[in-house]
Amino acid sequence: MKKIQIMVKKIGMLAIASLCLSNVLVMQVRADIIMSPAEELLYNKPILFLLICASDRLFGGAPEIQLLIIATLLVLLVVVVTLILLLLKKKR
Amino acid sequence: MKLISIAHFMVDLTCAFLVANIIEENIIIIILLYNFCAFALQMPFGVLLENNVKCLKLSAVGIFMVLLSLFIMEIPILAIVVAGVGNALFHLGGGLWVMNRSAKAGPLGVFIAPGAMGIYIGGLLGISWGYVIFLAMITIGVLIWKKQDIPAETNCSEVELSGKKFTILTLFMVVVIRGFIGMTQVFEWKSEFSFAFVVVVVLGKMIGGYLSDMFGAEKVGKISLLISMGAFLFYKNPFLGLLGVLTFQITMPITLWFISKITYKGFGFGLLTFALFIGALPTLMGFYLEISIALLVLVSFVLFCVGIKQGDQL
Repeated sequence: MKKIQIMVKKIGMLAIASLCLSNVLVMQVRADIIMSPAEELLYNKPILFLLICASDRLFGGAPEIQLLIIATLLVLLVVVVTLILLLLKKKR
Repeated sequence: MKLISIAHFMVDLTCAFLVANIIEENIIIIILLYNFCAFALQMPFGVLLENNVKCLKLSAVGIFMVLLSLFIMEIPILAIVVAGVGNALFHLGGGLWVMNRSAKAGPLGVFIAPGAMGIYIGGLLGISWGYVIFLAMITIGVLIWKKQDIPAETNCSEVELSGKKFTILTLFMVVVIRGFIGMTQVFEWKSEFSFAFVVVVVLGKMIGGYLSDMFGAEKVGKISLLISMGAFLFYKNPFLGLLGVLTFQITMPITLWFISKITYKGFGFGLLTFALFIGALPTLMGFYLEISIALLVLVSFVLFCVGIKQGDQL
């Protein structure tokens, strides 16, 4: 279980890094989210941070950004589910 | 073997027919969702189902789901999800069945090749073809359901993934690039030679597996990618462009076969379809990146060489 938690956390960090790289966060996130509470969230609860940013963009962003967020979340979902299934398979 | 290949042709034809005839304002979401269900979902399905279900039964369920989607076209999102999931189940079941029947790459190429032709023709057919498609699909679905299946236990394989991650990653990237190129191939002559284009795609996939069985995966993969790179440098010439496409497609069954050899069959199959989805994603979302195809093939060549060499040593 701990392994899965660590893995999910890593994937969350990776997702944020990739989103940052694609300039989505850097250019689009509101200034108030980038302030210290957000930094705290980013380091302690990366998944929550990702979800906040995603929902922020999802409901208020341009259509192409919304599409990008939907696609990113879908891809992440598939990756996480597959990794969990692989771990469970290995355990069995 | 013939039946499952014909079924592949029909399933992809039906899905393309569905996407082409669905009336929906936000068609981009529809196409993205369809590709997600049909390609990306094969990866978790592969891990989940490979040891638990019979392959041909899984394929038949996929066919019936695609068939069902034709009746719910008034609800586009639902129809697309049902068709996409059905398509994923069909491919997975069919792929596992082919891989269990033969350890060679040739049959795998024959199975995957007709899909491109199905997509091409399905996209051209109008709504009045619905009845013909329905009859063909129901016949194929019943025939596949009744066909003697391989026991589910055959899919079970004891695999140790540690030490293979690098090889898996490189082959994954090769397919991501292939998916990207597949979506961005904008040749000036493409509309004029559209049928020839699809024929070479089918031909490349079909002969790739057999060539690999005859001369070795590494040799065939490397030579075909090098020829492809050279031909794509002169892609403005339709014949050289088509040669590039043909030789590029040859690596498709090779990567699929190779990855199924070193990892779980279902997971390996799904991983590469997931890679195709990732590669197609930028174009599906409307991002057009102008990168030289020959350069991308070169990157693909390097990754292929590194990955397959490492994989051979395992």
